[in-house]
Amino acid sequence: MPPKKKASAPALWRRLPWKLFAKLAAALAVVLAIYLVYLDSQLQKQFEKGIHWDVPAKVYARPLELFAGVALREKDLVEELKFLGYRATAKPERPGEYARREGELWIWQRGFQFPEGKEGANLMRLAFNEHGIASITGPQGEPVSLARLEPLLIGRFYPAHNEDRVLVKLKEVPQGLVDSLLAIEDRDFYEHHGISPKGIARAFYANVVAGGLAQGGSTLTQQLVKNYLLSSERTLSRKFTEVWMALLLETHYSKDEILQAYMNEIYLGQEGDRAIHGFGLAAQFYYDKPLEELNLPELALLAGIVQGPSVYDPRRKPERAVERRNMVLRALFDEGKLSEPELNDALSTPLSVVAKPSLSLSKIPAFLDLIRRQLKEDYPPEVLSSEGLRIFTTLDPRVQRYAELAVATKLKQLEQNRKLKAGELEGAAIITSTTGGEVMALVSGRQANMAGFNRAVDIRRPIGSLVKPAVYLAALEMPQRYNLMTYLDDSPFQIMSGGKVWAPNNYDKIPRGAVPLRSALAHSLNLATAKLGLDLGIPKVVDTLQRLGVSREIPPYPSLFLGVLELSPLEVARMYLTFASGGFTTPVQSIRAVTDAEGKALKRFPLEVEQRFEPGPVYLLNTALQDVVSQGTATSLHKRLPELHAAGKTGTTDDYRDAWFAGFTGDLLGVVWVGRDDNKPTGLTGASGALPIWTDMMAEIHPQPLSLLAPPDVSLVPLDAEGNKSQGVACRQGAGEVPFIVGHGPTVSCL
Amino acid sequence: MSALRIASALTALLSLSGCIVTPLEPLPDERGVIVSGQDSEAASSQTAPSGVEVSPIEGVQPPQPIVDEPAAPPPLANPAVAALVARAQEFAGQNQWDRAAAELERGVRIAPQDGQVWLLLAEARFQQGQYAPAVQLARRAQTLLPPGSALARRAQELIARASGQ
Repeated sequence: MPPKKKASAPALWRRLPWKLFAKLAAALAVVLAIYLVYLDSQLQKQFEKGIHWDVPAKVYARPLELFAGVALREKDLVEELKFLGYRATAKPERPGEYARREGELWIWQRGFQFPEGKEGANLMRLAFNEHGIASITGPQGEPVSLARLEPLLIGRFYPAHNEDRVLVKLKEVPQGLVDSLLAIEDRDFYEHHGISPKGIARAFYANVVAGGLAQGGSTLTQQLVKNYLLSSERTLSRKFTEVWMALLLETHYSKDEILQAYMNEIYLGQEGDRAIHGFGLAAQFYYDKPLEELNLPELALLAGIVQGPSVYDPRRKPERAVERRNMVLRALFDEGKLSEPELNDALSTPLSVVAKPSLSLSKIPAFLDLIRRQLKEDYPPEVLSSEGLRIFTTLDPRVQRYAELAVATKLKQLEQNRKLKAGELEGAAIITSTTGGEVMALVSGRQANMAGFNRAVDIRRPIGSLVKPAVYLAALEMPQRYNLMTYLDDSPFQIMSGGKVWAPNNYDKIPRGAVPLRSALAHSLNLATAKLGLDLGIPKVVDTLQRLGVSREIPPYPSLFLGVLELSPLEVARMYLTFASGGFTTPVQSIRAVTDAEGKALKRFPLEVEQRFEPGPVYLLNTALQDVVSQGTATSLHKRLPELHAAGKTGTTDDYRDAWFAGFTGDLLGVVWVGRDDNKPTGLTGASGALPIWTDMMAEIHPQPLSLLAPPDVSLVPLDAEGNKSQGVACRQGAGEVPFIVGHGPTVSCL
Repeated sequence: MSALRIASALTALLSLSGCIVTPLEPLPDERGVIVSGQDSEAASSQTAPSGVEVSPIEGVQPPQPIVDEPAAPPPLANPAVAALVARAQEFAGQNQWDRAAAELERGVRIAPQDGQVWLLLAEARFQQGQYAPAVQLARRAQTLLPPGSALARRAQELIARASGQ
């Protein structure tokens, strides 16, 4: 009965509770309005300081200074370039490339913001000779007096949640990435208002055609909201929030701001427990290059990965990654961003992803630990892990590498040669510059890449004979009483000390009788040194040690003269730096400057020196420390590296528990300790345990030879074998020339 | 970067470093050296200061490594150090003593045996009002400068003046 039906419909229509609907709608609108206000306030709270991320502080090694005359071998420079991710090409055409060309090394350096100012991205040509760099010229052959490579990134201070980022600015992002990203993820990005019905329809169609999930319908704005603001649960209510927030976000920010935020936020991969966010870090992670150096196929891959970083992981699933990249490239072609030959070119390009990103290679936890401790007072941990600070340190990656290698290799060798249990020996080493005491390498143990006990900084072990130079310096500061040829009494004695008999002995138990001061030091004679110390008095030696930079409490007993004082390798370095810099102490430095994320200097750690000794006595002592190497307990060093003229001292403690060597060249100071963590004897002496490591390190590092500069109040006097002034031909075969403080030389001639 | 600007920056450095010092002798190395890639202005003029004769390339032989003759390095024999000193002088001219000092520290690292750079660093510290460090740096300079030389005297005068602060 159609008429009845016809009649009933309007009746029903009329019977509906319209008033209630209106009330409900009004109530809903109010709820929605309140909800939107709430969402907006959430949004405002999140974006209070703009779109902002926690960016870990970056820690940089020292930059390499390049100038004509610097003793830097081509091999070492090329190694540094590789570590910095420079690519070898036939002819450098852009920053980040180098080539061996026409007998020169051509480098197109990357620009870098240093605390002192910006270093430009320039092409330079370097010629080498047997000493190092012979000349540097610019592209037109003009001389370049000084250039500086960007420093190697050696670490970051991550926040607790292990997110990491290299922030990029939209205007620095290659257009290829923007095009790729929009082509594959959100074609209408610049037209829509946060959500795109067109995009959803297109994605639906594409997925039906592909028979699976090929495209998502979310706009970049929605994806940003999802990544940045919301948890990862997939519920309808979350989708609802996402849509509204995307709309709201678009009212607060411009398209470019949203795109830039997206570029820095999006999740692009995983390395262990570290999440890779943003294209800046992803470029480093996948290609070991800054984003602006990537080519189109590389950019297209990154844009393609967005949809599923593990599904399209180019390292583990290269075929799928290529497929995905090519889909992006075809989309670019469809949009007219690529010509057909360009497309074909790009499609046939192999994936150029690096096997392992170098940013995970630099594992130097001991040095980073030292940095963290030094920064602790000025920068709390949350600042270090969030403000994107840049920390410019003194670490020399090349020196570090050789130092680590020497410790690991030699300890193993020592164990094998001496039939010790594998892994029983431990070691620590520190290398600093002699100017300014900058830490160039810090080795905390044989497994230097493992975080753990920082032996170079934290162990306290008796320093044995390393203390002796302090006793001799105390004597040489009194030129009216002591000079290098003053005879000391190396014969047995005993005294009461602390209620006990103290009867020192020489290492080989053989007393030498009367010995010139410098020989007593060269051969590390205990009897002569202990007697000298007693003559000087304990307070005098304690005072000398304090002036040398020892800040620890010093035991005021005669056994001090033979090294019961306990120090860390770092503290020994500080003490020996005072010798190496001619009587000036300098704090051991590991940081040069801290800048903010933009490169503005926040804090500098200035070069500091303080004169604690007259140059004359220190010069005399240093020549005696050279004798230790040329004719004393460290001759194995002299035999292997005679041209270094190094100065140093061996140290061995009771029952061979600790083996030490501390020594310096023209530019470097090195301290090596070898022992056991359980403090049991090793059977090694300073000369047999620590010195070989020191020598191995320096043989690779090629430091500058030590050439001591005689102060004006020192004169060289030729002496005969007995230490008398030599004037006649008959006396020439004597002790050679010996330095004296003017007015305090020998008076007897051997004529 | 004209010769005039260098000269005026130099004068600025010296005049600002107080009346204690006799003017620094003209840098012995005036081979129109440049520093690669500085701030945009300097980078755009990758040429020598005008008015300073640029030697042909073959004239720019690699300098003797300073370490080979640590006993008596001629002052600022190293063009790299000369370039850093020139930059430091520019910063000094703009009254930016911390940046000047930072460049001079680079110089000290490159040529630690060059007493003149230590002295300039001491003078920069003096200008920063850091008198005690200035004294110590000047003492370090003294141990490297030929005794009785004009520079050694200048170091002595700086010590006297800074000690009185």
